[in-house]
Amino acid sequence: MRLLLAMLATTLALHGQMPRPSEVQERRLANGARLLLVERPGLSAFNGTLVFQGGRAEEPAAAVGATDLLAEALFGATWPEDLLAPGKNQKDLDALLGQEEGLLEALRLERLRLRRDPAAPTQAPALEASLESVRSRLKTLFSESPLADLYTARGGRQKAEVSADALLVQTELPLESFEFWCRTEAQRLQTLQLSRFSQARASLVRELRSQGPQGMALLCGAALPGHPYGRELLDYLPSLEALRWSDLRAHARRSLRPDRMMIILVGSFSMERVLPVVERQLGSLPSPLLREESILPEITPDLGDRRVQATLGAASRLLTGWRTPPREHPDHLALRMAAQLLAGGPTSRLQSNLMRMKGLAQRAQMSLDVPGGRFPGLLVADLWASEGHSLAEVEVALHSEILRFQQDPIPQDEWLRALAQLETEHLRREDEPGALARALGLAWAEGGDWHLAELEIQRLRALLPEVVQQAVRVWLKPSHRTTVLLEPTPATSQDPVEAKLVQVLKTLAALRITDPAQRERLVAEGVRQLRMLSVEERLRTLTLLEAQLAPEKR
Amino acid sequence: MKAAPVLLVAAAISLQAQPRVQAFTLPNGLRVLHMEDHEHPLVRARLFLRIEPGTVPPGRQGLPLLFQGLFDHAETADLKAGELDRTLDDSGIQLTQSAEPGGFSWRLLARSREQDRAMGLLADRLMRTILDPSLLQAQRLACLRQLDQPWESPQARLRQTLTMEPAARPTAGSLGAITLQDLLDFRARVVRPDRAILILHGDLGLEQAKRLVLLSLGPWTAQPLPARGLPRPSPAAAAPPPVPQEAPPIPLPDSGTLVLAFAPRPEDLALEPVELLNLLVPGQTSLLPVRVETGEDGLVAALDDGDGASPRVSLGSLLHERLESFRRKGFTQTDLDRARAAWFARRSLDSLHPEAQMDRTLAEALGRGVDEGRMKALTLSALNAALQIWLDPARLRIGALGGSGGLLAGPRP
Repeated sequence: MRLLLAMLATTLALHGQMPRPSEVQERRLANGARLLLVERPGLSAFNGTLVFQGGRAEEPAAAVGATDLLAEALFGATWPEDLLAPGKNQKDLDALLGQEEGLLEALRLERLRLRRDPAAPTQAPALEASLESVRSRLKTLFSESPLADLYTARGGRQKAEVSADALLVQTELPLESFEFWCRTEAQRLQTLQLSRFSQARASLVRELRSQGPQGMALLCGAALPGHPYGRELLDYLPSLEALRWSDLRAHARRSLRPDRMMIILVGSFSMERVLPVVERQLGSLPSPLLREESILPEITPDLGDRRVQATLGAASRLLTGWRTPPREHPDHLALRMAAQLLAGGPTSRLQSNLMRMKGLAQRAQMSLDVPGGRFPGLLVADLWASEGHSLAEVEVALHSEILRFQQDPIPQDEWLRALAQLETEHLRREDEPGALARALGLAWAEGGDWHLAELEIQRLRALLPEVVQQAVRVWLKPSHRTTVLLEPTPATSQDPVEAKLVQVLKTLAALRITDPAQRERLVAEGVRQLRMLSVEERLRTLTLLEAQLAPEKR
Repeated sequence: MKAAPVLLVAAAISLQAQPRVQAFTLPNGLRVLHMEDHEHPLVRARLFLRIEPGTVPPGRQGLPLLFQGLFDHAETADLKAGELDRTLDDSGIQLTQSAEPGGFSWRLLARSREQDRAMGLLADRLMRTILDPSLLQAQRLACLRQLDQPWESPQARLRQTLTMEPAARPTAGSLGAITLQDLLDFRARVVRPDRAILILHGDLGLEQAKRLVLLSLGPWTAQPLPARGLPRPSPAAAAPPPVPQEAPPIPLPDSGTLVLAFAPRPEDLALEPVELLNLLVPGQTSLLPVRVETGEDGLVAALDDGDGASPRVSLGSLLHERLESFRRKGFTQTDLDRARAAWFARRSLDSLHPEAQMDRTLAEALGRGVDEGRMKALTLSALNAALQIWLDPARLRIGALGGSGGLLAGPRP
């Protein structure tokens, strides 16, 4: 009997030590929206997350940046005027926002016209005055209280995150505000008022401009050409500046649909309590009659070994991306483990060998699913060269580490170490409601199934080293690889060849295309493609392009 | 009057949801605060070491930063630096060290079955670390690079420059003046159990926590304080560096101009009005087009022109003018009541974040916690007086990205 009790106690103790997956309950609402509930007794607040499948990858070319703009304009704050019931005030607001849209567009076109012909007579001051007058009238409809944000006033907070595959909105509020949250979000999605559209657009443009070009975007552009995963938002600034209030509302109606929405709740409440409220509010959002599926181009992994050299940023940096399968692919988990073994901690191969032992790199990181995991993406090694070492040295060292990974068996202690780190990280995520909701939402948006997040650690434990090695042989090969070598930007000016190319492309585009926004978009895409060429090829292309111009325009 | 019951209910709910804090002190003076939570087999620990004012001698700006870097890369009597990392990684233990306002923190995250090993490694780090003088020069360079932050965006770099107290900003000279003896003295003054607070959170009971801490950190004894006084500053370092009110300009990739102003949080301000100002100021529409956000160190106001057409001086003047008129205007009683209700309600959000619960417990243990009684009693005049002090133009540090010309050329409003 004593032995039995001792065994029982040991079993229970061991059971307590094992990470338990959260108990997630799922329901489907009448309009197609999915609801996940994770019960966490004892919490005095809750996390409510809305996940919309789609993200940047599903934006049409004319609306690139719309998801980022929605995150800012629709979910950046919760203003009372964005939740007005249909009536006179809402009609007034709509009318004023419509006028603001018209004036902003007229002003944009006028400024573009003036850029071409600065001496021409201009309507700009009159338009600016009209815009100012409309904005003053709009201001009278806006609340001026410093705690006007409805969630902040209730002690809550909200943040929106945009990825290539999803728009994810997380709200934290005291438990007693749950019904209020449901009602507010339903009303927000129903109305799509976007009253601060113009400020949000200006703020996003300003942020993108001040960030400047990003190395990771350069890598994605070169490695995933022709696919929305390869777009750099900065190249589409003119389109973003031309995007109107009504365009964004139309885009929101198409993309923020209930059948593409998942609601995730983590808190101290039961399904019996939440389901009727969610069904009544978010479940009553109209569902489209036809389910529209975006058709995106295929990404072929074997595009050949590509190289890009650029001057960017403040450090010598080597970005190497291998085209890898989407999250639902059987090899995906093996690549996740490979990334952990290669750069998952201070004793991982890249950090230990390239940083500490050889001193070649000052930073070494690896990321999977760049920029997303729904379609084939990239496994990226990001290495910052140490002072006194060239990018060529770092590149050779990286390749030899990959080769060693492919050829030599993985020692067991190294394998167990990586697994232990992943297990701790998994537990941390389970312990933090926001991190758990995010993981569930992204698993659904990227892999089509939220169970992927819950089962990941069990599947990782069942993985074999040989399987990981085989996946690395299949996917991390030169024909899948794109390398970006970034040298620090000279303080004085940008690459002169690129500057000249931009000038020539603009002149050529001006001869053929009248719409300035379309023209700017074309030039941006041209520059992105040209960056993939070597310096010699760029010079040859420049000569060919210049030859198409009349001598006086060169 | 109506707000009072709401506040009481909100406070009661928020307190009910937090794990109960139980405190004990080891014979060596180490204070331990324990929060039991068995939701997941995970243990978190935070060890905070206070740096008392006056611990850093004049002319040795950057001493805590250099000490942190050296300590982080040092070996211990039992483990070489690489071995420590290996042991941590083998067990899936995450150990990070950071410099925070007023001290250093070590944060531990481990599966509960690894708690003994995790605390043992932390103890080893604290008690048996050997400072290696051969690493000193490399760490000085690393500190300078860390301060320069070339990998960060220009905005983040400017912000970092403004946030740092000008007189405390390390320079190549001040870092070069720091000797091994300075570092050993600093260690003797700071790395001691009677200056430390340990917070444990997660899957361990009180008795288990006592046993664990006693076994791992019980043998930690304070080193005798250095007999000699604080080192004399070298003649070159004796004179405090000039206090730049205007930070050196940083180029911006685009042609626009951005002006940032930083108002450090005055140390003498009570915490209660500061907490409410943190809620009220960022939502103030009268400041537009100036955008404001608040953080732990202070308040940041930003203004840009997008196309670089406005000279810096006019942007700087507009920013000053908006802040000053806002400072004069202040808040109303309704604003105060709403902010207070929001603050009490927000306390419950900590239940979603174990790290936030530990932050709050630490702040209370350090005497930096907000007193609910004082919060309820806060008056409008006290709130507006705090705003006046915080946004005093003489305290503002201002800097620009892009554009040309000075910021402070014209007379200040």
